[in-house]
Amino acid sequence: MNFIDGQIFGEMAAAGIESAPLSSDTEFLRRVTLDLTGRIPSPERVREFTTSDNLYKRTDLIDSLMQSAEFVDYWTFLFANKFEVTSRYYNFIGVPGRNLFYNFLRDFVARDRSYAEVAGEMISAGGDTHVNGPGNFLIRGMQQGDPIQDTWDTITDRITTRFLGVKSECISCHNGARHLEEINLYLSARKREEFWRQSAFLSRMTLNQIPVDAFNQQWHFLIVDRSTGFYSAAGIDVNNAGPRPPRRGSYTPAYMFTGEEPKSGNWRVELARMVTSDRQFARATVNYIWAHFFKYGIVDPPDGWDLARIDPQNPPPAPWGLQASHPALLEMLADEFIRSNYSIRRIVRLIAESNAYQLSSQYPGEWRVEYERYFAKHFPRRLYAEEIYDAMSIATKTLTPMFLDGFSRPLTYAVQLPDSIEPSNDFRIGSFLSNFGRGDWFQTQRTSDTNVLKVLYLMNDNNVNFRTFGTRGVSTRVAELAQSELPDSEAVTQLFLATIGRPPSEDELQMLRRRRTGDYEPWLSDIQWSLLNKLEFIFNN
Amino acid sequence: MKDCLSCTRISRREMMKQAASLAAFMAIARRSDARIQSAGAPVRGTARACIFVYMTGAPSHLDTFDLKDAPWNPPDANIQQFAGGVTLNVTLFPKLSQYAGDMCVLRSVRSWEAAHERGIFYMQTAHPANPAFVAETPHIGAVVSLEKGGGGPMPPFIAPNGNSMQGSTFLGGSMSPMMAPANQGGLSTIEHNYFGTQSQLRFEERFAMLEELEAQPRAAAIDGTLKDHAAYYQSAKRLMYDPAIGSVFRFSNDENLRYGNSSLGRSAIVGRNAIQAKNGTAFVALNQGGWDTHQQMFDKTYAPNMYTLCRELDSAVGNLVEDLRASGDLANTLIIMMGEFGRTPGPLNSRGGRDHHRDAMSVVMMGGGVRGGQVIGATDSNGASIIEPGWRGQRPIVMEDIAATAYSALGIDWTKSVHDTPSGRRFEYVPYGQAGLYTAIEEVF
Repeated sequence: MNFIDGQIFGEMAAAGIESAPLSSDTEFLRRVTLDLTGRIPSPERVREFTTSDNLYKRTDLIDSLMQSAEFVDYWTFLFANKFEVTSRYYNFIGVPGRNLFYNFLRDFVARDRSYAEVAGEMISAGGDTHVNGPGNFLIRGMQQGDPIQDTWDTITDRITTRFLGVKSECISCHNGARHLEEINLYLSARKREEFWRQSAFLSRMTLNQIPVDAFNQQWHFLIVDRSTGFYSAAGIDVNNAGPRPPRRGSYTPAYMFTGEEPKSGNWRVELARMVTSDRQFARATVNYIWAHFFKYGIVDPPDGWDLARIDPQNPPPAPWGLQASHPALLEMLADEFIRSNYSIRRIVRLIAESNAYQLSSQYPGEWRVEYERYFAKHFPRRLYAEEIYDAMSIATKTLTPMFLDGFSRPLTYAVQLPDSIEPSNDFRIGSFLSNFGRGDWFQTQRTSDTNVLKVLYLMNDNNVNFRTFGTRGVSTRVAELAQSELPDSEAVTQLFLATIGRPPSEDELQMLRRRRTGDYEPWLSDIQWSLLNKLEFIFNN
Repeated sequence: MKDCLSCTRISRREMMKQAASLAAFMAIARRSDARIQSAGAPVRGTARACIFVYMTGAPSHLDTFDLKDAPWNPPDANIQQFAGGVTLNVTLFPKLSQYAGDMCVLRSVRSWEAAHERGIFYMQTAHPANPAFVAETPHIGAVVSLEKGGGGPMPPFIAPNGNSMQGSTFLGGSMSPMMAPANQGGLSTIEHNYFGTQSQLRFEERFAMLEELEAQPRAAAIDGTLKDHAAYYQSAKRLMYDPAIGSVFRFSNDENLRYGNSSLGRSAIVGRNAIQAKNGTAFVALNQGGWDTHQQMFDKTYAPNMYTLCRELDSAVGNLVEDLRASGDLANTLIIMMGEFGRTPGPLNSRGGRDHHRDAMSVVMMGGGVRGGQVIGATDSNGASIIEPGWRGQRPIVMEDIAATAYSALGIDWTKSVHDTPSGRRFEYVPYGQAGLYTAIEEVF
């Protein structure tokens, strides 16, 4: 019970809405293990957890998961996805730049460094991008072949979206007026000049391209700031003006959200300070974290903030309403985030320990869509491609080592991969991950959509099926069980625990027993196959 | 509609999930007229399916479908005039020239964009790549699927060599392109070949076990995304062990060679099979890259060059037309060939290529009720700009008009709009179609 619960259950009570009951132990164990580490619990852990009568076992579990190396893997994965620094971003980053950036994030997660500090380092990064990791965040916004202004504008949008939850891209091409009235009250009043002044913070930054090898196929960059200069439309080649409409005039920086101008000549350092000390930075960050656990943000989508609709003391004019479902909670979380010196772990722990997060995904009464914004039950989320792959390998005991450039040891889990192009040496794993929508961190967005090909793949592809057999010379869980002398019900129970994190019900057990007509192995194999195709497997409930 | 992100946020979110199933979407559409609006445009309804050939990279109109008698033509050009003013370089298009009489060439087309990514988005959706709406702007093929799908077990929208293309967005997963790569051996995942002759039997047993395990959770699933996922098991199963489906994805090496032994050719074979099988597919997207010929476009030692590009297109689409004609399916299958914009006019640039140009480009339409052997519109002698629109619109043709024409051929009211987008903004099948700004090109038919 913490202040999250006061807000969530308070709102429900005020509206006369019943919440779903608290999740069962098995439901909670699988859910929180996935949400904190990206992996499913082992059968041993399920047994231990469900039989323990420790009153604080949920809190203890959260503690132990958050202290695990798996937590560091997974949260690094989440942040790496957020910033999409892929070695295949044209040929600007490469494996060395990507590894440096990945390790920068990994260190931040492992040590729970202040996120404000980390964000500031990314915004103001300098030096050689094959020596210093964070600069690659900037290079990821570099626009090949377009005027440098497009690079500044793109990075500006990446900064406001990822750190402040505000997509400012619209006004990088036109004023908000007559475009955004129906979309975003705040941005509808912004002018393109305001965006240019925001972008001007980057206009003293130079990205000096250096070839990595004699053939100039790969580049790294020396990021250096000049002490003079400003944002100007002058000098753009009209025959290569880039994708944005023509620019006019010259601009010095002003922070779009407050109008503040830099106090020193190092404009990017000033920008880093303004962004990370902006209360919206804290709000947006806690909301992004919330959305990871609850599927929806308190402001949703979490990158679609309307800053004119966040203050309950200053509500927007009718017919607009406040954007957040729980404005007070958002502020409390932001306060806590700031108080903890921008500790991601502090917010993660608060959320994971709340009863609000621990509600069941099964709603006993009649569910109504209006209940959704009250978070009256837990919303299942489809696992990410990497999570499905790992869950499948763990469940069937078919973990496969993956070898990566610049990594001294092979990796075992897809959530440990630093980039969407890896493992480049194993096509089968890559094709599995692409099939389930990991995207390429560049042109193809990550997706959790299902389609008919994905279902066909899960049912019929050898990449999945070889893991379900017990007689074909592959070491699998089914093979182990088939050779054991375990009674039928115990073997089935082990498959259930390992694959979907709960024992079979009496009905399920009876049904499966009834279906056993022949040998042990084919029967176990069919059960393993069915479990991998269950909703419970592919969703985090 | 000012309340778009606040008051009705929840119902819309739910709506999105429900929309993933066609039945649910249509049920809702019927329940409330306010959600779908239309000006009730008259439509042709001459086609039951569409094959869209995306020539990405943007082909040079001057060297493909808008030839001029000019010094920049290569010495080996064999330019012939066909009925209705269609001209083709037979050296580059030996096969397609045999079907010039089926071609309607639109030469008064103008692109909104001169950048590939945005142009390709426009070509796929007939909408601008507005970052605010990209996520809720479906591919034309998804709209066609919504309107014309459901005719059989095959997915309504296939894109055998599609990659990173715009999908169905808020129209839901069953309208999204099935991007199953075209391989001679067929689609390996529509069979469960692990048990020799017993494979099908054993699969049925596994599937029955799964169904029995899932009956209760599926019934209890009140969450839209879970329901959708479950529904795909039925549609996936329908694709399996159905010889008519399996043969859509399979072809012989002879056919592969006849179609040019290319990704485009193999995809065209699968597209042809799907059209001929008449078991659900309404939209086929075929993709051919490499048309971005900035340099050495007629240099046979440089890749890509016009010889390889045109012949690849010629083998694939020429044989596609030939086969559909022979099977009687061309008459009700609309084929569209186009790129995202034109290329710079007049003589080649200093590097022997052509750069981006949006003031003039060509589009080819065939089959599906299109009156072949005709040319619409004209450009000046350099191919720089449009001098004669050649249709009653009396202005250059744009992508919106092309889309309206395709929808009309398919019998789809192109003035329709859908309101339940995630942002609450109206999605018009054809932007400003309802207002009459863009329209079907009746001269095509």
